[in-house]
Amino acid sequence: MKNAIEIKNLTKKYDNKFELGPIDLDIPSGCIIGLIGENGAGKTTLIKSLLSILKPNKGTINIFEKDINENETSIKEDLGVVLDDMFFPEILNAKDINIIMKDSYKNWDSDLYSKYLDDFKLPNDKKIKEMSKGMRKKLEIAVALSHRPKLLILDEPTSGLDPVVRSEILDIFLKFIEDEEHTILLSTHITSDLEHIADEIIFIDKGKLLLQENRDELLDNYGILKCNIEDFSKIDKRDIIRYKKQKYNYEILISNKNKLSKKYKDYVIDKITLEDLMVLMIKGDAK
Amino acid sequence: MLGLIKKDLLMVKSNLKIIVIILIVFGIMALQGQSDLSFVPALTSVMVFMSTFSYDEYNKFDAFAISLPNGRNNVVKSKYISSLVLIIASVAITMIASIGIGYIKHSLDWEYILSTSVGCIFACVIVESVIFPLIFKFGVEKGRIGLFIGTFAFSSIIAIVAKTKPFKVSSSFISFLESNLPVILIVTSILLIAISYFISNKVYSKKEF
Repeated sequence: MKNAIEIKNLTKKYDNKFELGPIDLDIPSGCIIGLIGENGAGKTTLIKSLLSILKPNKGTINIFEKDINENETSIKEDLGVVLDDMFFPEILNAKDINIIMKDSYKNWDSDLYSKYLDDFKLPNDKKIKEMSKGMRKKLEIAVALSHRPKLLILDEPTSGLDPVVRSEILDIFLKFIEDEEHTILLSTHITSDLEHIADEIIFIDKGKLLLQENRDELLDNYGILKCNIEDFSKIDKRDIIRYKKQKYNYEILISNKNKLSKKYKDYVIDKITLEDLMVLMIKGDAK
Repeated sequence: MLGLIKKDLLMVKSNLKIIVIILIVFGIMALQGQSDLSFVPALTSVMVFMSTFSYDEYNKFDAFAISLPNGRNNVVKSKYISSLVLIIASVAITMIASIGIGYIKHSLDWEYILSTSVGCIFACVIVESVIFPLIFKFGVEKGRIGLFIGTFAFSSIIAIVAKTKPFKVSSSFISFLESNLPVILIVTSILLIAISYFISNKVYSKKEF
């Protein structure tokens, strides 16, 4: 399988306060990759670096097997982008955007754009500032899709939206990915969305890559072992990835769930959600 | 880049009501009064164009623009081109209006209309050439403050020079300036824009959003 994105040794420093990386990452084409991490973990920094909005201090980024610095224009012709709160000035409307984008992308398809507007029930003449948050997000997605990109880079595309709109938007992404050449890199706080659609999960914390795993394997492999306070000392320290002391018990993040369920027959090992994993990895104590 | 130029012009168009009202008010004043108001439309166009920077900044459009296949230099270039299109259009409208008013008042002065038009373009070019690099570097608010400080400092220096006359200007030089004024203004305008664009481009190429 080809890689849609290849990142080598990427480092970005901000005024000595925050540092992303060094990160090495291969993002395979043909799947939905979920990028998770708490606020300020470096998700947006990573996405902005991919798009040359930020200038990394070190490292190389290849998209479609081409260096982004040397082939920026041709690569960006095949990228669709939804950025968190970064879009056209709000005094413009959907019709204006069509006029602008026709001269921005070689492959801009006005008919496809108007089909998306119809499908999403978006008005042509309403200014962006008069649109609801859901309408605005759908417009951003329509804009990102209407030049038939190969790679969608989405930063928080569903944040602040109600479950109905979110589900509609996730359906659009699933439809987009039906073409095997298409790839989506999706950063979000709403980890439950990724449990439905992502093929692979990338987890970033404090600017560092914590894990990159297939979603199903990750959810199958990890689990939460629950034991009471007295029994905590009986758990083999080597099996503990992170733990969190609750009021009456301990929650312990473990991997190799199937193997450990035999070892710890007397304890409950719950299935893990991405949210549990994120919270325990970030807030849990190390063994 | 054409898309970005259209974007700025569409944004100006969405402020069209304000522009038309200003032009009508000043048109009536020009018809009734004695004072020359031909600089107003061009200056209005500059002010209205500045609002495109404010909207861009407020909606963080620059980051989005960089994610499109334009290239950073075209983001900068489009601002210069669309603002110049606007200045030239507003001066052209003013010329037509001045000719109309001249006919109505039986005081048509072609030479005066042409020289004020060139003067208007030159004044607007100076303002934009100074403020654009400041906005690209410091943002809209600080850029405006920079322009005010710059204008104040520049006028103060001119006033001091005019008062103290520290050097003597030969009358032949003044007559040379007078006889070649339109050409000098046009060449200076082009030079100013070129220098300003070069600085803005340099600033923007390093900027992060």
